[in-house]
Amino acid sequence: MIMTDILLDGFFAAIAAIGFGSISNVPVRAFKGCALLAAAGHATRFVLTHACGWGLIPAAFIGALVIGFFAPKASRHWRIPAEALAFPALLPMIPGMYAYRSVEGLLQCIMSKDAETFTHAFYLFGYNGMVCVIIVILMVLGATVPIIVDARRQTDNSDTKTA
Amino acid sequence: METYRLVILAISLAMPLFVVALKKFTFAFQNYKKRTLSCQEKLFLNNECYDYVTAGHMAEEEVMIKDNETGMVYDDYELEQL
Amino acid sequence: MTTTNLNSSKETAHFLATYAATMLAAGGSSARCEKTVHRIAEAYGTTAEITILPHTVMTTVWDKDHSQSFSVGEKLPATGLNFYVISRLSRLSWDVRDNGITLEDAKNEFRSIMKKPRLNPWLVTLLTGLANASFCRLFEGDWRAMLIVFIATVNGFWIKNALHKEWKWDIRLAVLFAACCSSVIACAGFMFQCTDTPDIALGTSVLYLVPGIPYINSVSDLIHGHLLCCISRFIEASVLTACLGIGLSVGILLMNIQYF
Repeated sequence: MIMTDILLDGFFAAIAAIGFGSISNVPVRAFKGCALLAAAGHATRFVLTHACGWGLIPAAFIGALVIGFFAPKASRHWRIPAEALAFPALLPMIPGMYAYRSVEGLLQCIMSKDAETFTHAFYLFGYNGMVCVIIVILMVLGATVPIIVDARRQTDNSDTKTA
Repeated sequence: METYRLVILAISLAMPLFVVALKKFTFAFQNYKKRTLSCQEKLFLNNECYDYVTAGHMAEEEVMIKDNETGMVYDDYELEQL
Repeated sequence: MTTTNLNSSKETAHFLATYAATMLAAGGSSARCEKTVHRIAEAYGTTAEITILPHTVMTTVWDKDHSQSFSVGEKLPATGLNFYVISRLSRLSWDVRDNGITLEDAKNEFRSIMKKPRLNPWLVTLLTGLANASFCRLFEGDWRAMLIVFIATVNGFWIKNALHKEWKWDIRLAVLFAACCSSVIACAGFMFQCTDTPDIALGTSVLYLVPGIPYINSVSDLIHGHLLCCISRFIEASVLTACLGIGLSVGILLMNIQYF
C-alpha cells in the first residue's frame, strides 16, 4: 500500500469533515483540528480495510478509537470541547451508502409483486440497515469512550478544565 | 426519450434560480396587494378621519388623502400644513 | 429564606432553562447539557436537575437550603445545528465556575453568543460541494464524477436551504426535493457517458443530506443512558434519511436510469 494513497485518503476525508462541519457551523478555528482528526481516523480505516483485509465494521471502530484518542489532546490545544471536534471528524466515516441502500430495499419491498422479490428486498433492507446502525453505534462508542476516560482522569488528577 | 431527460436536467439545474426568483416575485406581489388594499382603509390623522383615494396607478409610496366633508384632496405634505 | 435568595434562584432557573434549551437545540448531546447546567447551578449556590424531552426541556432549580424549587419548562427553539454555540456555551459554564461571573454578565454573554451570525452561506455551500466531491473520491469515483457531484451538491444544497428557510417548507419535504434535484443532475453521468463511474456519482450525490450529527448524538445519548432522546433523535434522523432515499428514487425514476 503506497503512502500516497493513504495520504490522499486522509486529505479527502479532511476536506469532507470540514465541509460537513461547516453545515453545522463549526467555528472556523476548529477546522484544523477536525480535519486532522478526520484524516487520522479515516486513513486508519483505509489502511485496515485495504492493507490488512479487515471488515468494514471493526475497521470503522478502530478508526473511531483513533479519533477518540487524539480528540482530548486536540481539544486542549484548540480550547474547544472534545465532542465538537470529534463528531464532525466522524462524519466522513458515516456509511451513507448503506443507509439509503436500506431505504431503497424498503421501497422495493413495497413495490414487489411476489414473495421472492419481497424477500430479497427485505434482506437488502435489513442487512444494510443493520450494518449502518452497528457501524454508527461502534463509531460513536469508539470516539466517546476515550473522551470519557480522559475526562475522568482529568477530574481525578486535578480540578483543571479540559475545555 | 433523450429530449425529455435533457428538459428535466435543465429544470433541475435552473431550480435554485427559480426558487429564489419566485420568492422575490411573491414578496413583491404581496407588497403591491397590501398597498392597494390599504388605500381602501381610513386614515386617522390629527384627530380627523380621512379616506384614502387612489390617484391613478399607485406605484409610488405617496398617497393622496380625501377629506369627505369638504371633498378636497391633499397629499401628505399639504395635510401637515393644515 | 430571604427574598433576594428566592429571586436569584428564580432568575437562575429562568437562565438555565434558556441555556439548556438553546444547547440542546444547537445539537448538544444530553450528557453535555446536563454537565454544563449542573456546573453553572453549583457555581450560583443552587442545585439543578433537567428533564430532557424531544421538543422541550424542564429545568428544576433548588435553592441553597433545598426548601424552594423553581421549575421552568422551555420549548427547544428551532435553530439549526450550531457547534459554535455549543462550544461557547460550554466555555461560559467553565467561566462561571472558575472566574465567578455574575448572573447578569452570564446573561449578557449568552445574548452576545446568540447574536453571532452563522458562517457565510455561500462559503458553506462551496465547502459542502467540495466535501461531497471528496466523498465521491473516497468511494473511488473519478475526477469527472467528482465534478458532477460537486455541481449536483451545490445545486441541491442551495435548493434545500432556500425551501426550508425562505419558503418555510417542512425540512423533510425540502430534503426530498433537494435529493430529487441532485440525483437528476447526477444522472447526467449516465446520459452523457462522460465518466467511468456514473453509479458512484449518482450514489454519492445525495450524501450531503444524510443527517450525520443527529445519528451521532442519538448514539451518544444511548451511551449515557438518555434512551428517550436517543430514540427520538434516531427516528427523526431516520425519517430524513428515508426522505432522501425517496427523493433519490424519484430522481432515478424520472430520468429512467436502470440503477438497481
